[in-house]
Amino acid sequence: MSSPDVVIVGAGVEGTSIAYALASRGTADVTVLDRDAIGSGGTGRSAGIVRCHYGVPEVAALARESLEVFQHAEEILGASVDFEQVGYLVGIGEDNLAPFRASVAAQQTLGIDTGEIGHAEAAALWPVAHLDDFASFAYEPRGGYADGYATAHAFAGAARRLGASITQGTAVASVEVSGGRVTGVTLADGTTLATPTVVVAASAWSVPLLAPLGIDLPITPYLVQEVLIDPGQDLGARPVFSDMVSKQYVHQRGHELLFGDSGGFERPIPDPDRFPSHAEDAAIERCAEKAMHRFPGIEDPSVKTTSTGMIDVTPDWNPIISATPINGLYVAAGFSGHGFKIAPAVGRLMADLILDGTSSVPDVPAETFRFSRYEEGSPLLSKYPYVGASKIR
Amino acid sequence: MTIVVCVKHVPDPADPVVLAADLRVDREAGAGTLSGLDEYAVDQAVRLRRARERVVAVTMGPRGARAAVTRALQMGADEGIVVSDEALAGADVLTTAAVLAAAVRSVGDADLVVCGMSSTDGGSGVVPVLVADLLGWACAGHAAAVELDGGRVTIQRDDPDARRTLVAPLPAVVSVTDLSGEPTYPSFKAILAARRRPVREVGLSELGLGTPSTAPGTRTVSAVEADPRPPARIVTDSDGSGAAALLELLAGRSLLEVDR
Amino acid sequence: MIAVLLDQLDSTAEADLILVRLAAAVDEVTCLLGSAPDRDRVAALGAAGASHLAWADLAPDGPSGPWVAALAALVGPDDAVLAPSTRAGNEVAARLALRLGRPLSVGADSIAVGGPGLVVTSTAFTATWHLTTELPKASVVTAVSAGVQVPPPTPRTPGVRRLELDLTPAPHEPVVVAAAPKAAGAGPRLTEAAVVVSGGRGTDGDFSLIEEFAGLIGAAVGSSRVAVDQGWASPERQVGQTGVSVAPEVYIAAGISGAVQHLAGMVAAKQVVAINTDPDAPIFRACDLGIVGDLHTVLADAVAAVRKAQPVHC
Repeated sequence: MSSPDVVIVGAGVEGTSIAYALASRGTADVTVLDRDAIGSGGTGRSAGIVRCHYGVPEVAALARESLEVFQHAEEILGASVDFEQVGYLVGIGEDNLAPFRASVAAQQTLGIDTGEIGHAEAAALWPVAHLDDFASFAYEPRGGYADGYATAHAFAGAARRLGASITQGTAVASVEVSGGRVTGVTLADGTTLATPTVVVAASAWSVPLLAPLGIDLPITPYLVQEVLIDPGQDLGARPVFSDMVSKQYVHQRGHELLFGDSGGFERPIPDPDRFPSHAEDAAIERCAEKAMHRFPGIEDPSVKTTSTGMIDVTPDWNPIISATPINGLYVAAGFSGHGFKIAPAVGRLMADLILDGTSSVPDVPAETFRFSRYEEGSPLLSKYPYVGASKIR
Repeated sequence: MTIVVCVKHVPDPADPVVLAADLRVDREAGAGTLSGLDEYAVDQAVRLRRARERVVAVTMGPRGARAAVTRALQMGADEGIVVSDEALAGADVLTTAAVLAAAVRSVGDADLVVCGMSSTDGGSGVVPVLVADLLGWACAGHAAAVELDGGRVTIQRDDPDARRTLVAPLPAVVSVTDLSGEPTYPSFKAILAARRRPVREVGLSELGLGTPSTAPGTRTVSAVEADPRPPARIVTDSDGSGAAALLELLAGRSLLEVDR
Repeated sequence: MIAVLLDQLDSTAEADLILVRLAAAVDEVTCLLGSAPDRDRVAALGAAGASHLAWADLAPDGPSGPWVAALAALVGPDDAVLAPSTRAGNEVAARLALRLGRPLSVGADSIAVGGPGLVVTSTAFTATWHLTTELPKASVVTAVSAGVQVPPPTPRTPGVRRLELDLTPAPHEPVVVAAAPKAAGAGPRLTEAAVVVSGGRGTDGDFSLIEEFAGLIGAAVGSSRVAVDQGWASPERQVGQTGVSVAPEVYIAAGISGAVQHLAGMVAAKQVVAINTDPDAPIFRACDLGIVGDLHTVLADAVAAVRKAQPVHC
């Protein structure tokens, strides 16, 4: 291999998005390395929900910018990301009504197409749902869901067409540093690839890669469990539904419904490579209770299958998209469960940081997701936190 | 009368297998699952349940094994028995069969035992016939279909040369293949209803069994993980590229030189 | 001595010879046969290394009890027993081990003298682990035949004797009351073919291209359980834990997602090709060449290319 201008570690949706953004800005001598395959990590297991309802304005802005790419993927990337623009409905309880309204207002200020709707409108969107215990709803007509695997492949294909190269089945063993700056990466087979710039976008696997350099990423792998339901009836196309009362989210996948829990049941796991492939009984029972409460109109729902995934969680449940104390070394990791929705804009932001040191993404200052914020004691927290919900908000 | 269905909690086949230091499967390592073929056994047992009868799901294994019985209850079994005893760690097929046979006896009025034809982890498929021999019952194995008719059980078995119909008198043990039906995933209502069904946890002494003797002289001396298969070469088919890759692979192994 | 169980319903003459050769590397071989062998059979078993042939009138499709009784009568306290690791062979072996109180090892792919008596190797968990197990000599072992390495035999001239035993089955043993024979399929047998082309759900019931391609290259046709369930393929075609285990040079899985039970029947294949429209199908994690695409298109292209390359026959 030659000596590329930039090496990106990890061909997930973030790594491929960064490669595409760099290549589309003219830095095409980019090599993405993945120990397995494109989208083989968390990306391929993502629920793929697309929405902008965030209490951190900068995250909401990244999601807003990303939505453009999801919606126009075929023109922009030349490939489909299987985006189903079915809308995004969020229902809130009395206890969280005040922060909810403030959050929706802040999102509208950012130009996000969202607004509060009433019970009648919500009932028209989800006729089989029981909605009496919600205080209010917000609806984003441009939300929906896409496919993580397809999105990573779309970015990878577009990046390749612009000259980037993506090498699968090639693990990076270490990042080489000399005199405080990056000189290259050493691969698992011992060969070294010289480069002045390395972006580590390897989810929780970024931690052991950077620890030998004295960079201790505060990232913990967490287990997420989801249940795929056969509703046994045709529900028609329904929006993604985030239920902030029962603390669950649901979206359609073909004729089936994917249920996830947002009640804060994600739990840390010791090893990002070792977690159960299917949901635990307790998670399935919790899902059954919540789903039967919320969707009495589905007569006899049954479990089709279950799935799990690993998310890379930071102390403030927001990502690190940042330079590091080592010259030429960048990190895009710790996405804490919202990496997919913002991935297209993450690529652009990281390309800006590498090439300009500033941000061209509207409403997202370059320093927002800096690594040093933990050391400084200024975590990035939602301005409108919801009680009782998981922090993937 | 009662139908007993034997179920096994196995490591999820989707998870990598972990062996503990003593070369036994680390059954505490990941969340396990009901052995795939046992779902067919539960499905059959529930279908064969006659009026005023019950289906009792029996398992043997460590703490997590209860999940196999839970799944059986969700699929329609009425009661469960979990045989759990530290002395059973690493039990071989003969010990397993002895424990299951004792559990069947403890049910009292069982006249039919249904098993999956083999587990997805051990996979030897011999536990059903051993249970039958220990009980002194008939064994009709590898059934693609099962019918009860008075005091007899009739099965259909697919052999390489013929499909055979076999008849055995009750009481009997049958094992079923994955052609015996199509078990459905439990509905939410069934999942919640299963919580209320009784599950009895018993140790060896409650079954009247002593500590099993370790298998006479059998010892696994090494377990080596196979080299992982290198990642596949993936070709997305367009304009015949898939067929070209396929034929190239066959030609490279001289497997296309036929019919000359 | 090592007693070898032959003539099981679900074994083949070829597999039986492999079993004899495996046993001959361990000790002097006595074979148990279900009927009197003719001269050719005696010669073939002798060439494979058998020293003694014992036979009785034992129906291959009869109950396993009489087979167990015959073996029990045949083996002395220090003798080993080797049976084929098939449904019938494992059943006889397990019942014998229970009856004689001997250790049992199922599914060996090699057997040798060593340790306290015998050392066997096997694979476990869909061939992701290789296990080595030591047993006393007087154990009951069953062995697979597909894809195993057998040592070259020392030819023998076996003696033949009939077992004089009452082999009436116990009254509770199951009885075969009907048998619907299956037509022998065209082409090579699944277990012996160098190439196996199997179809699954993705065929949508249309096996014509699979059969055409297999016929062209001399491959055997297999199927997944789903295809058998749907009636698209006959049960003897089913590859997997609950069907046939195969060990071809190349296994082509067309429209098969790769459930673990299916993988269990094909892990011994040297190369695996998967054709599937779903790039997430588990089969792509268990293959050497993965073709993301429609099997009908890929196989039609392949058939056309092979036909074009082949000389025209009159």
